[in-house]
Amino acid sequence: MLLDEDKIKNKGEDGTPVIQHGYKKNTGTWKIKMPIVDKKKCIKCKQCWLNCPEGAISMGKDGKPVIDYSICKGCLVCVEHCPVKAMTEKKVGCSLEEKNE
Amino acid sequence: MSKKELLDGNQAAAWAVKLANVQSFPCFPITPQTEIIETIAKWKADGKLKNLVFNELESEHSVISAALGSQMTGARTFTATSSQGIMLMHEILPIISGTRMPLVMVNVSRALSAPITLWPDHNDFLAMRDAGWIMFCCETNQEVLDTIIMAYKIAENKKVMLPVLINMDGFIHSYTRTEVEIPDQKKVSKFLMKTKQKNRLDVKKPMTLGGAVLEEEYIKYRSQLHSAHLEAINVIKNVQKKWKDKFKRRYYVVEEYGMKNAKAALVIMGSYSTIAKSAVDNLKSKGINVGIVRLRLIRPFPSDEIRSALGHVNEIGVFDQNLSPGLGGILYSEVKACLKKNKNVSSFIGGLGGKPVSEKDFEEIFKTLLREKKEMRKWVM
Amino acid sequence: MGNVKNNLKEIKTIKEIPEEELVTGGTFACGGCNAIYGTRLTLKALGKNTIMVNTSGCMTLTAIYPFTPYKVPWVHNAIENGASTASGILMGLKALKKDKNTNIVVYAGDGATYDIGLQALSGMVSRNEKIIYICYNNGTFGNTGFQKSAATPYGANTTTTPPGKKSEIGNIFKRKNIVKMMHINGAAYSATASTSHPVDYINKLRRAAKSGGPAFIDLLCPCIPGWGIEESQGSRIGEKLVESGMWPLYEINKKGEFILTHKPKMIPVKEAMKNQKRFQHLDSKQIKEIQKIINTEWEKIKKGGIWTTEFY
Repeated sequence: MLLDEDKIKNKGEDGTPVIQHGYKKNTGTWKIKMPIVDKKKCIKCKQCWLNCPEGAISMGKDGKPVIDYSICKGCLVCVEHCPVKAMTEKKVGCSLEEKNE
Repeated sequence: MSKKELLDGNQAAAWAVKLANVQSFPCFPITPQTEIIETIAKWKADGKLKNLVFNELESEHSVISAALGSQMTGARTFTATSSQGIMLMHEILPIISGTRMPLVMVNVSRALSAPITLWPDHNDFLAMRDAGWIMFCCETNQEVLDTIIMAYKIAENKKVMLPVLINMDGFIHSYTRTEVEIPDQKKVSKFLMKTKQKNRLDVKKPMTLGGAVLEEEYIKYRSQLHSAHLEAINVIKNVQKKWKDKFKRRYYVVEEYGMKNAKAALVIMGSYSTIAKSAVDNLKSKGINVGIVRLRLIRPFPSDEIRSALGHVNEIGVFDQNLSPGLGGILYSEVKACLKKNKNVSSFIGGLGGKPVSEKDFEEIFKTLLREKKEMRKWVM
Repeated sequence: MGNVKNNLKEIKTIKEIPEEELVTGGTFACGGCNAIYGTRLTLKALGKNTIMVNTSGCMTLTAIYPFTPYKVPWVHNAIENGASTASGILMGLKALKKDKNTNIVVYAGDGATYDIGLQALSGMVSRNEKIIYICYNNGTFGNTGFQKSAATPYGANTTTTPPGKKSEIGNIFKRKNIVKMMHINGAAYSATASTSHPVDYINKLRRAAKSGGPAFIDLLCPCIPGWGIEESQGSRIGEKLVESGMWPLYEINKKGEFILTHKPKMIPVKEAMKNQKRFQHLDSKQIKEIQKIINTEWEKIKKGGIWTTEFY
């Protein structure tokens, strides 16, 4: 596309990439394996929450982890750090919207 | 009240920093710029600059990085450098214009090494012409003072938001005293009302500055930078008009001297313009009508103004106190590109490393232009 | 919204770590990346009143328009000037009288710290500026594809120090002892840390913030692709490096006291190097040599000496 120079609208101080937090990006599609929480086994030690590099795990009201699969990249650090094997890995099927069990 | 004092260019710049209520000044010494920072340091030590944070860093690269950091907090920031110093800063200059920070910097020009020398030419200043900064080149110490103050008004304009680089010539400006009128502080403060910078580092309003973009976005932001420059030229003219109203001194982006009915004209910038102007006076008194077109604004490049100033002249010389080896004079190629083909535009290169160019030399340039009536490339040796 | 008072209390367990996320997911960082994990811990330790300065590297690419993971002011300038940009920010905040309650943190890679940015860092420390400089150290120029930096351990295989027929070792240079260097330079606080020991790291950050002067923390950040390790193993490998004594966790305070903050189990060096591709070419003789140096170093420390080698 050819554009006349004078058609470029000057945005002044907004003419630079200034980014404010809020825009969501989906990195959940990266994963080939996904972590699954077994809430019965969970001892609320918070190891999975702490060690998740992405902050994809938050602590639910019951003090047990809730995984945000839309950003979870499936690195399985949480599975590695769970002391009681309440976190297990599972191959990603068609749906990424797996529920926290 | 305004007052008149004998000031050299460095002191004039220091006065402008004081008058403009600059809040932050990271610095590093280099000849011939050092006196600016020494003057400020002394004032600071004497308690005359209570609102200024002054800091000497360990290199020009760090100075310009700190200047960007400081400006990003929203504090009005100034710095100054010279020659090799601005070359070391070069990496950061496009980052400052790209992040649209209204920083103001003075360059006290000095020829580039090697061979190393102390005296001025414009290669250090002009090497920065693609960095995205607004660039002024001054002729007098008064102009240095006035331009620094005006620069903040221009840079902080919401439509512009570009850094400004102001050049004075090493030694000729920096160490030579001339009479300079120091404007009234209250009047300057009123002229330069500070508005809050929108894009800034503030824990109460977190934002990410200097983030990455992908290939779709990059060209959009670069075109933004360009369009801001094109817009800036009107803002600059406007500010210069306001300056005249308030402080009685009139500046133009392109200054015409004796151009009425001139048969030949010389395009020039910087302190050597003063010598060229007296050559024009000498020739006019002998009935030879020639004129000077002095470029005060280098970026955005005032093509329209140059064209209109030289519209009626056919024999044009461009005096370059700089050299792009393998091409020739930098201004020559830029001026020639914006003029119509039917004109004879000749290149004169001289004054490199501060080699004096006399009134006689300039007279000879004009006489040659009028005699030869063709395009030439000559050096003033 | 008023300024929240910085909570800089030291903690004992991970339960005391704030749950609020100031870095959110969705970045371009590799799965299991320890550098973004380190950022997350950093901001958990220091809280909202923090301005973060980035230097060019992997973490620059976490904020790609129109996405940013940061809920604090964050700025990228260039690679070698993290420290000087922070100095400028401090100047600006001082001018605006906002410097008292704000932490300025530089989060820079090891290439940007040990190599190209050392001058700016040294200047920052010598000017006694209240800035926390964190070097997230993966021992390589990771973003450009794993070239040797001055933080690359002896023997490591990088793309510019590949082992070959004539040179079997890989990297033949030792690391700079930058923590000691920063202490001698005049840092109010300098320390090593590891992402595998988050409580230790958070406490060190808070001590750094309270030190009131320039603070330097060398944070071990295992690099998934650079070191050739499994995505889930980042901090496990870090743990092994700490426990083998190759990456001692210590701090040096303003008085010059060398304090070990973690007593390693002294597992064999071989065990720590085992699952990293970058050390696979080393034979048992070379590994034994490394073990010997680590042992001698720890003998010295037991006698009250300070860590002098940066052999690992």
